[in-house]
Amino acid sequence: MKDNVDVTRDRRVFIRPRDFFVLAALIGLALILYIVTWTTRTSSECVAKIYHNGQLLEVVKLEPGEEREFRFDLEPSIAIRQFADQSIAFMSSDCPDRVCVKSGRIKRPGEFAACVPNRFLIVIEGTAESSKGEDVDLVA
Amino acid sequence: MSILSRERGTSVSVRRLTRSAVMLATALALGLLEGMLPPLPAPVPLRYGLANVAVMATLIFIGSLEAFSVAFLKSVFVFMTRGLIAGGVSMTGTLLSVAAMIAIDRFLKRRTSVFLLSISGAITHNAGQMIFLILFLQYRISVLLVGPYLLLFGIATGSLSGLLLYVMMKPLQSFFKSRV
Repeated sequence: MKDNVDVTRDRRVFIRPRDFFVLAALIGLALILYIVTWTTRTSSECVAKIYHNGQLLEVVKLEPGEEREFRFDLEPSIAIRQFADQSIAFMSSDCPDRVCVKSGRIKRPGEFAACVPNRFLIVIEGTAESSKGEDVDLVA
Repeated sequence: MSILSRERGTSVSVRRLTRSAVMLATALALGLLEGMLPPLPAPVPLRYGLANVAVMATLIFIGSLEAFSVAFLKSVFVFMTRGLIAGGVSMTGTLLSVAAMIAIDRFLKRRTSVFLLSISGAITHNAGQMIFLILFLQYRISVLLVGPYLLLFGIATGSLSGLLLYVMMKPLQSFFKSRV
C-alpha cells in the first residue's frame, strides 16, 4: 500500500544561497532599528515608571546620588532599587526564571526590565525633549 | 476529525494520527526540557524554541494541518500545566510561528531550507509572545526597541533549532518511512 507520508529530505537542504540575503536583510533591519532607537535616546533627565498589571504604581525620578529601595504590598517578594548612578533594577523576586533580576540595572530612556510572572514592569522614560520615541508605542 | 477523513485507507490515517501523536509527545518533552535550561540573558522573556523542532518535523514529514494541531495542543498543555499567562504567551507565539512557517513553506512550494523555516518560526514566535505581552498584559514597551532583540535572538535560537532538526533528519526519515 502506498504510504502518503511525504518524505522530502532530498529536497530539504540546511541552507540555500538565497537564505543569506534574507539573513543579511534581517540583521540589517535589526541594526537599523537599533541605531534609530539609540540616536533618539538622549540621556539627560529620566524617570523610571513602575507598572503592575498595566497600572502605573510609581514614577521614580532618576537623579544622581539618589538611592532608594521600593517594595510593594501587592507583591512583597519584589524589591526594586534605585542607584546613585541614575539607574534602577529589580533586586529580588520570587519568580522562577528571575529574568527581571538578571536584566540588571537600566538607565537609558526606552530601556525596560520585566517580571512577567508577577506582572511587574519598569520602563525608563526620558522627560521633555528626550522622549521622541514615544509615538511608536503599540499601546496608547 | 479531518485527519481521518482526508484519506481513504484507514491504516494510513491511523498511522498519520499516531505519528502526529508521537510528534506532539516529542514537542511536550522538548518543551519540558527547555523549561529546565537556564533562561536566555535578555530583558524580555525569550525561549530557545526546542519544541519548534518537533513542530517543524511534523510540518516537513506529515503535513501542515498536523503541524498546526501539534503546535496548538502543545500550547493547550502549557495552559493546563503552567496557567493562563504562560499559556497565553505560548499560544500566541506558537500559533503565529506555525502559521508563518506553513505560509512560507507553501509559498516556496515545500522547498524551504531548514534554516529559513527555522528562523522564520523563531522570529515570529518571539514576536507573537511580545504581541501578547503588549496587548493583553499592557506592557508599555516600544516595538522599535524590542525589534532588534527579537530579530537577533530569533536568528540565534532559530539557527540552533534548525541545526538540531537537520541533524535529526536521517533518523526521522527512517522513522517516517517505516511501516510501523
